[in-house]
Formats: sequence, structure tokens, C-alpha cells
Amino acid sequence: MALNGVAITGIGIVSSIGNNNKQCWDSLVSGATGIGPMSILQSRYQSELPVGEVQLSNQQLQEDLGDSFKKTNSRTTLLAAWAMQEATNLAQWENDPNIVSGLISATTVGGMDRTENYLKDIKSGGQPSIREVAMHDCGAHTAFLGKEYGINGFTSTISTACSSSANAIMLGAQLVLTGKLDRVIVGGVDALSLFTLNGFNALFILDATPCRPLDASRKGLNLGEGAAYLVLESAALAEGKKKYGKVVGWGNANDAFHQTANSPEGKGAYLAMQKALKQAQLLPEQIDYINMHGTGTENNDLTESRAVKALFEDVLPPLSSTKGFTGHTLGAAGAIEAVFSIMALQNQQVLPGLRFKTPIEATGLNPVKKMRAGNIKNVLSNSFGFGGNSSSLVFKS
Amino acid sequence: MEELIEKIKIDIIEQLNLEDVNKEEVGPDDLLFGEGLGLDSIDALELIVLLEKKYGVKVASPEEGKEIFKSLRTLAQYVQEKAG
Amino acid sequence: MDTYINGLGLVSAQDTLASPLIKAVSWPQGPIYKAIEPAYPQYIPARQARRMSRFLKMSISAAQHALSDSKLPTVDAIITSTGLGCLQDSGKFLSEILESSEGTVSPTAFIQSTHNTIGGQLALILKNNGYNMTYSQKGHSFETGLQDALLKFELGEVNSVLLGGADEITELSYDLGSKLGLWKNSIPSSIEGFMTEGSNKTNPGEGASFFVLSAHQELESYAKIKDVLLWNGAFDKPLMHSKLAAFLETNLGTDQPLDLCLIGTVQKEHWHAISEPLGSTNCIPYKHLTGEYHTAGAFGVGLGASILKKQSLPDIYQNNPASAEPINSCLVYNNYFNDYHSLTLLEAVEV
Repeated sequence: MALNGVAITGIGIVSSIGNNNKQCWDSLVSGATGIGPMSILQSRYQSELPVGEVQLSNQQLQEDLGDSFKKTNSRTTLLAAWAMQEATNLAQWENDPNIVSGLISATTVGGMDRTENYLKDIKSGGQPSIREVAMHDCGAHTAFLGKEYGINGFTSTISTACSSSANAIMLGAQLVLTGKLDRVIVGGVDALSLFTLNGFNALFILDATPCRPLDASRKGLNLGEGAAYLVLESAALAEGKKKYGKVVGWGNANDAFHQTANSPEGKGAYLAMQKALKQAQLLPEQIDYINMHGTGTENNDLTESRAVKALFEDVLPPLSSTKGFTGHTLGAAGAIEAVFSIMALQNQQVLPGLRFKTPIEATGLNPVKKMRAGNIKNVLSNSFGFGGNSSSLVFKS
Repeated sequence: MEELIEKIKIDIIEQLNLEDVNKEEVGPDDLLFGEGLGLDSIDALELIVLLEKKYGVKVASPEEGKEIFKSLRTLAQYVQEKAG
Repeated sequence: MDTYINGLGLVSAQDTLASPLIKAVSWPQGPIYKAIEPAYPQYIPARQARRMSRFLKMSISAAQHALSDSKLPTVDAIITSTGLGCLQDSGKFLSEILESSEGTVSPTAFIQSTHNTIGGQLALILKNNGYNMTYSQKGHSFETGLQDALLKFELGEVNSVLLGGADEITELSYDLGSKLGLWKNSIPSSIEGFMTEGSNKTNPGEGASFFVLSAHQELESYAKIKDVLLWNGAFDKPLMHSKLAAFLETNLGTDQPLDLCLIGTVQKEHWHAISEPLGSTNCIPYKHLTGEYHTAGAFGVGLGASILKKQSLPDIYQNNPASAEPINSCLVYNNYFNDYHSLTLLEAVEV
């Protein structure tokens, strides 16, 4: 199975470096970061912790998305809808009951932003509408959007921390290749919330300055938000359509070492990459670019680097982490970086990381600092998370 | 000092839910992490919270905590120093 | 590829961990079905348990019980599911943020709050580096996890899977559910009182149901999983009839009788819509045992599997007429809030 992979007929994205594919690509080209002071999320850390915030208010999102989105003010649902709209437009998606269509989304905290607001209002003596919490659960945005897109097949939400949306892409590819679905929308979303901001802050892994993934002086990550989706279609449905690339490899493993820290040698990361290459029937030297998980934390970047070195040995492909642009978008990260990987294939360019100066002494990896042309056929993208969840994907042009 | 050590010990056992630990067996100079009491990196973060909430003493980061959290005695010394 | 249930651990409001074939219903003391908590030290060493919420401990216990029941030392994959995740830890962390106005907060509840905490903890405890997934899709959380497990068997990627569904109810989630108008205030004491007509208001519950699935039949095997079908939508009798008929025809054939149907719903309309076309098939309810929660369907599958293994109904159903012997097939229908429907067909293993 899967020698030819599954065709990608649409991609859509919203992140702190752009509200659509083109804007995001332009930012990657010009090296413009999306990390800055938070303005939409109201937090005590407003001036202390930079974030990668999407530059669209909930009201703007609602107005542009149209009538059916007036019912929800969950930023998670709105961001997901926004990116999904672009992906499905490119795929010329029409609701059709004769086509078996699936939707697999991913998120870590769902509608937590609204629940926070609700409880905050209650605490200060207000009487907020209970509707605020109606979209709390992780599956709520998926259920809502499933109705919008006439989904009549497999519909679910994956929540495996920071690897969530990579897993959504993996499962979608398998369901299309086995003929269980004719087409599927896959990806993920997370909105900034006090919950995650204070959570990562309590773990002392937030950098108070813009993050420096894979750099020796790195001090932690910046949180980001956003959404990205791909449309995957069967060979029959994709025929004659523009294809943005193919999903050809996937691997999911667990590090099984510690609740939040990776094993010193990055065992989960190694296994996920190894499985993905095997599925894609590719040798390490056939990978032309690696989009690293590269969060900017001491632990992740070191262990991921070790795992990459162990697998690729002396022939390291060009690699970088794009989290210096977007921040760590948690449940959306796998999908956002999948879109970036596909853009690298489309444009035949190796993507740069930002703010890298000095290699990590123990591993000596030298990430790409400036975008440059290359012959790029296969891209590997890594996504790892709490609970040891580790996933890797391979995209092919 | 010995009194403070005892108090910190009880607080740690309670805060970290170390129900399996026999109070009497933890000496003031025993290692809290690794081979000693076996605490881990998440416990280090909880110790930072504990010191701030119960003793009004700040530790800036887990790295800074490394020396401070060595044993009950080093902890007590740090608290005494900062509070005094 | 056939998939067998070879191990089972059910933590619920009934005393189901030792055996799901219970002798009597223990009705809740209030409007909420609280789960009966296992003796945790039997399943989790104190050092491991010290950071775990009640929910995590229930889930890990159910999973460990299923594993030892299956006699398998390890599994190739771990798939968990939950509608609302670790509510107690999420609520605790959120309150701490709001109470302290984003002051110094303890990180443990945050670390333990993510939906994949059960799956991650199980991987850690079992030192399992295999495939690890967590699903959360309201009333289809468990069932989409089950579909993923069946896919992995079909692809030949695994020989065994630890699959589970778990949800907890906390004070905060009960309170918010009350405000959303989801709950009945009455205390259930009979099936009649539990299942009502024209309303999907219900008594909330909680539980953790874990299964060891295997590609191979063993002495321990409970049942074979034939197929799962999911659909969404408000009560629609003709649609339910056509889904049911098509599902049975595909998986049972036209000449095979269905011996037993477990119906998990709080609404009489669903009961009638499923039981009527089944004619003489023995139909029994199960949601009055657990109360409603997102992953309650997993309890139904566990109960059905136990009945097939023991070839007998629990005493609580003995008043039911005409229990066909032997019981070769068992269908589980689960409904969540009149929107999430699922059909799971189980078959007895050949001895």
C-alpha cells in the first residue's frame, strides 16, 4: 500500500505570519517573524511574554466567514473554519452526498478560551451566557464544521498534545488509501489561551524574548496560535485536479520516558522518523529537507537533534524549525508545518529558521538561515508532544 | 534550623503526595533528587511553587533550584537566608 | 482480518471490574452516577499514583485490569478516547490561574490535564514505544478510536491493541451541564424512571472501559468484533431502520438471526426504533447502569462481550423473556444526546 501516497488537492492556513497561503509564504521568503507582543489575548503577561498571535479579531473572522459563523464565538472554531475555507476552495470542494467525505481535526484545548472568559466573568460577579462553554470540548469545532462541509463519513478529533494534527494527517491518508473515504479534510487548530500560556509558563519553558530554535543559547518556546488544513483525495477524485504534493510517509511512536521531557537520545522521535521513512520507502539520503519540531526548549531541541543525527548519520539534509516565525501552535503545529513543507516542495526552496547563531555543542546541527533554492522531492516534518507522543510525516512533490 | 527542616519536610511530603515515604527515613542531608528521595523535574517545579507560596521565597528557575534543592538542609538554609 | 476482545476492564457505577455480569443494580444515591473506584494500590504503585487524579487512576486501573485479564505482557498500540478529558485537573488548573490572577501556579495539574494523559501514562508505565493515539469526538470518541484500531488490524500493522474510553464527572462539569439544561434532577431507581419519552435530559455518569484487542483467538477471548457503524443526527426513525437493516445485512447475512441487542439510550424513541424491527431478538438496556457520558458506548461493548463469553445474561436481566441460547451474535446500539449513534456487532468465538 501507499507506494504513490495520497494526493493533496488543497491547503489552507492562518498563522501569526499570515492569514492565507500567500501571506505565509511571503513572510517565509522575507524572514518576517510573527512573534510579538500579544494584543488579542488579555493576560497579565501581555508585556512580558511574546506570542505568535493571528492578526484577526474574532469579530473580523466571524464577519468574513459569513452567517453560519455568527452562532459561535469560539476562536478555535473560527480559526479552523478560516483555514479550512482556503483549503477546500483550492480543492474545489462541493458538498456531495455521493462522495464519502471525512473530517479529522486536531486540537489540544478546544474552546478553552471561551470557558476561561466564562469563569472569569462569573468570578467578577457577571452573568455570562452559558453558550460560552458550549464549544469547550475538543470535538465541538469538528462537529460544527462537519455540518458546514456536508461530511458523511469518518469524523473525529485527535488530541495527542503537540503532535495532534500530524496524527490527523496520518490517519486521513490511511483512510483514503484503504478506500474507506473518497476524500478527507485533515489538520488542526489551537487558539491562544490563558490556560496554555500559564501552563507553559509554570513549566519555565517560555522564552521572554523571541525564541531561538536549535540555537545553543535557546531559552524556551513562544506560544503561537493558528490553524491549517489539507484536503486529501483518492486517485480517482484527484484526477485532473491541481495537486500540491502527496502524503507518502507517516510514523507514530511513543517516547515512553517521562510525562513532559524527552528521553536523552530522543527514542520516540527516532522511531517516528524511522517508521515514516519506511512507510514512504525512502532512504534517509533521499530526504531533501527536514522541518524540525524545534520548539526552542533546551530538552526538545537537544534530543530531537540527537535522534536526527542517529538516523541520518553523516548525510544530514538541510533542516530548520519554522517555530521562530509562528511560535509553537500546539495542536495546529503539525498541520501548519505540513503546509510549510508542501510550500517548500511547491517552490523548490529550503525554508530557513530565524535567530539561529550558534550550533548546540553536543550535536552541531547547522539549520538553514536563509531561504535557498534546492532540488526538493521529499520533505520530512516532525511533531512531538507531552505524554511522549511523537509523529513524523513525509511529503513528496 | 532543625525545626525549619522538619517543617519543610512535612510540607514537601504533603505537597508532592509522597504517601509512600516514611518521614523518619528522610535525613536532613539526604539527596532529594536522583538516588535519594527520587524526586524528578516536575517535583523541582512544584518545590519552586511551594517555596513561594508557603515561605514567600522566590527561586528564579529550575536551574537555580538545582543547588538549593539538594537536601532539606540546603533548602532550609536558602529559606532562612532569604527570609531573614 | 478478525479482531478479538481478549481482555476487559470496566470501571463504572456498578461493581463491574471483577465481572460485568452483575447480580443486582446499584442505583445511585443522587442524580449522578458516580463510578465505584477500584482498590488502586492493586493496580498502581503509590509512587506512580501520587500525581494522578481520580480519573487517571480509574483509567489506569481499568487498563491494567484488561491487560492482566488478557494475559498479554504487552501490546503493539495504545488507543484511548475521552469526550471531555481530564476535567478535574483542567478545572483545578484553570481555577488556580483565575484565583491568583495568573500568579504562581502549580504545574502538575496542567501537565496532567491534556487529553492524551491516559495514553501517555500507559505508554510510560508499560514502557511501550508503539503507536499511541487519543480521540475526542463527543459521543463518538470511543467508537472512532475503535475504528482506528480495526484499521490498524486490517492493515496488518498490529497484533494487539490496548483500547479504552473514559470520562469523569466533576462538580464544575455537573454545574455547567445543569446550566446547559442537560441533566435530570430525579434520582433514578428503575429503568422506567431512567428512560423517558420526548426528552434527552439524563442522569450523568462516568467510567473507564478498557479492552485488549488481538488478531488472535485465545482461551481468554470474549468475542469477535465484526463491524462498527456511526452516524449523526436527531431522531429519525426511517433513517435508523435503514441503517440497522443495511448494517445487519452486510455483517450477519439475511439468514442469520441476531440473538441479542444491547440498547444504550435515555430516550424511549430510540429503544422502540431499534427493538421493533428486530422482532424476536432479545433486547436489553444498559445505560441505566452507567448514566450518560461521552464514552458510555464502550461500557455497552464490554457488557456485550462478557455476555457472549459467559453465554448468559447477568441476573439483573433474568426477568427478561426468551433469552435465546446459545448467544452467537450481539449488537450494541449506543446513542449520545440524540445526535451520536453507533452500532457495533459482536460475535461469539468458536470454542
